[in-house]
Amino acid sequence: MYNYHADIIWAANIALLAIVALTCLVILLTAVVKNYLWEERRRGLLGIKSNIYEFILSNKSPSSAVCPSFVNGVTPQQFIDIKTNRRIDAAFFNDSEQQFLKDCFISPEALAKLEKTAKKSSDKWRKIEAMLCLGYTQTQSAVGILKDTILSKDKDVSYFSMISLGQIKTVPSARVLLNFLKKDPSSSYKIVSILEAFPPDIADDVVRLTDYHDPLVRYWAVTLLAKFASGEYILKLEKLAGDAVPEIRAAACDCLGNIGGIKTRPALIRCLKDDSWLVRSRAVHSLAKVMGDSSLPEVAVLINDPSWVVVDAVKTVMTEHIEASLPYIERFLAGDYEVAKKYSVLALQDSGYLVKLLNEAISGKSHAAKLLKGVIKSRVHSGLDAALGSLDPVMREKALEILMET
Amino acid sequence: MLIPKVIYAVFVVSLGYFLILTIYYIFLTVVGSIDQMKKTMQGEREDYSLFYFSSRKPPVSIILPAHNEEGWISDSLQALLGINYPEFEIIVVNDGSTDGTLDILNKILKLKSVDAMYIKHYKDGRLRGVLKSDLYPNVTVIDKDAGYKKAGAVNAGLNVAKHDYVCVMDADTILERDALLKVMAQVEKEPDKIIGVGSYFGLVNGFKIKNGTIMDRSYSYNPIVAYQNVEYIRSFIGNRLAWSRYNAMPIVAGGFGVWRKDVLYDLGGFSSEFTCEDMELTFRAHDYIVKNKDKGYKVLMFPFYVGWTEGPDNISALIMQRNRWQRVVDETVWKYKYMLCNPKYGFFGFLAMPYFVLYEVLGVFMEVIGIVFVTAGWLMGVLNINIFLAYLLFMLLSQSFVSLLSILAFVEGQRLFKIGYIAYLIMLTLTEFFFYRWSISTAKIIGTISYLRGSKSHDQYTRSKPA
Repeated sequence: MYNYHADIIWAANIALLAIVALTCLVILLTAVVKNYLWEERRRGLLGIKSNIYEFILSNKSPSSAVCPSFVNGVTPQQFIDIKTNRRIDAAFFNDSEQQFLKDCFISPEALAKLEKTAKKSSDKWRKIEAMLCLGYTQTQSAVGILKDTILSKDKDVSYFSMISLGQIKTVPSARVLLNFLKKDPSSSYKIVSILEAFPPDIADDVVRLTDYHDPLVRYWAVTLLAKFASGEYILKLEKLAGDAVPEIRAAACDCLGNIGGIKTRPALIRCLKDDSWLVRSRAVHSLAKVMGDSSLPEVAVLINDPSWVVVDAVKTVMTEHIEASLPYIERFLAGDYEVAKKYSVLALQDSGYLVKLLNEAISGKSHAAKLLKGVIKSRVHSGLDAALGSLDPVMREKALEILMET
Repeated sequence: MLIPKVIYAVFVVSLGYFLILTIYYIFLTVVGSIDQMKKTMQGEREDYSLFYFSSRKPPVSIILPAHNEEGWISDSLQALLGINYPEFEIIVVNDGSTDGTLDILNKILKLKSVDAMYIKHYKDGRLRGVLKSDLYPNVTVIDKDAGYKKAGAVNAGLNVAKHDYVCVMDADTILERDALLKVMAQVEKEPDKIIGVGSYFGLVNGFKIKNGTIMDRSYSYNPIVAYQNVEYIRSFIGNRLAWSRYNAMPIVAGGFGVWRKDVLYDLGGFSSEFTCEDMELTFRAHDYIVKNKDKGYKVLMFPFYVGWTEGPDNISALIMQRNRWQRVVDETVWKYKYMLCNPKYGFFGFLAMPYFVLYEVLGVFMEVIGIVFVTAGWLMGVLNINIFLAYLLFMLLSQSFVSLLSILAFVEGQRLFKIGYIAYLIMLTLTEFFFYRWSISTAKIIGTISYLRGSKSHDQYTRSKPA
């Protein structure tokens, strides 16, 4: 007979049984405690809400002198609950309630306590909550602390430092973020996303970053600059439009397009001849943004571009300025280049001009009939079905007659 | 003399198998619960307004494939129309429905046919037409013939999707209002690295839903449904979160998954050559991750409840569903067998793949063979009752412990169930061994046989309408 070690298995079973029983108990206890804590949290928030109402009804305006005493008991967790409405299932706080609490929350004592926690707490999530509170209350002195915490090896501490700095929205907080962008370009997407919401007075600092040696940093700096750029940076952007990296040249085109004005045109026209399709396509969009339909003589020639992205950009410009584009479309339809024909018809379709063209042709306008003939002969007349479908039956009959003739 | 030897061998292997499985699950559950805690903390402290109002937030194309979904489509679509996300489009794909799905869509959306350009990048089946909503400019309906399963329907949606991220759902998924916001705010942290994302979702059975809004969240006490709740919890915390921690997530579920569109383009879209498409795509994505190792791509799982989907509420429907799932597992594991313990695939090859081979594919046979041999040994007098009972109790307790550990981690991290329901789940966990487990084993065996016979049909059990 084999020895099956029944005694060992039974011993393991008894141990397992005890563990299972204990786990059941711990689950139930955890559920009860969690439920209790949740109720406490809910009651706490509702209590703060009713206290705020009572205070407001007593017609007092909040100031450090008259801030009600209950604010002293508000914890960082509750403050964030209120500021972000993340516990909306417990209580909702409107803007004025949030503002009231923000004005009262930061007493010098509370601030000192928060700063201490943000600097020294070994509990990561308490530290982060303190940092967020400093951010939400826009405490300027917190920038110094966040400048250190953003460099933390802990990714969460670093990330929430960025978020907190993003709430402060001043030039010093932007500088910390921009410096961090240089150190850790992998965070650049989030940093740029945060900095976009800053006031334009950070533009000078952003411009300085466009000279940085790392192309990724330069790229994000130019991308961000597109949000704040004004005429004074045109020379700088013209230089960036000649950068060695195509993405940077493309971003410079976007920036120039946002600035607009006559001075940006030469650089944008130069970019239409760039080696990179990315730059050419952005230059097409930007030039159209700056010059409107008068960009068409420069832009329309790129319908023959080898890159479909550029051709699509030209089509978009033609769609936006369809009336002014008609002479070009006529010429393309009469030509031999199939891509130009296709995108011309698409421009007519996307702009909804095909319906107008049919109506004009029905009312006997010869130029419309001529253009329609060009569309039919192009053999890429997608969209005519839908255009015909939108006409009433009598008009549709007439349109079909004209189409048959052409 | 041979029979006792065989029984002894099976006894030892079977016990060893349960021991290894239990240790594996304990390890993953501990890792998963730590990850859940961390991600929940991150999610709670995230500044969603900063994300919401940023011009850099990634817009999302949501694809909702529907094949004969007249019972659910109205609610799932209306839930989508009401989501809280700054920029998104909805693409509903009517995949050759023969019921009233298209009529319902028309009623809600006021559809009109458009002559839109439709370029077939992915295999999708014959297109009937493209329709746009008169009421919601961000909604498009693709009407197509059936024939390429859900993969074809999703591919049709991909063909017209215009945003950089694609969210793929099931037609019976009721999305939470903030689902995309929570998930995409995390994606925005590393948009150049995160290529695919899954998140928690639960069973909608028992909920009361009106026009896409959940009016009452009463979790079903039907044991078939409640057992699935335990399974979902075990799978999310005890497997997926931990796999995700090591970038070894083998499945972004079809009920809710977000993918980067350029990666889907490189992968050639979803494949209709498998019984289901979600698992195979995720495996293919891991191939892609390895081929682009320098880019540090990731497929992640988040612990945010993003939506609710219907689960089978009777045993035959459950067996039909699990039969299908088993075939998907078998097909996918067989196709990607080269990943098993392949150092190139890192944790995916050494952590996720062995689980799939040993537990998902072969596990059912280990369990059944173990039980059959040990029972036979007892009946034949080779084993005494003492050993026999000790063996059964070990199976029961080890499995219960693993489930309880997941429930503990779940209760610690999520505030979803009331105490009464948690007690009910505990009770079910302790009794799972007597009934539910063997029903699932039956489904798995049927599924494996169907796979070996080459069946690839997407059998769908009859769905009930939302309450």
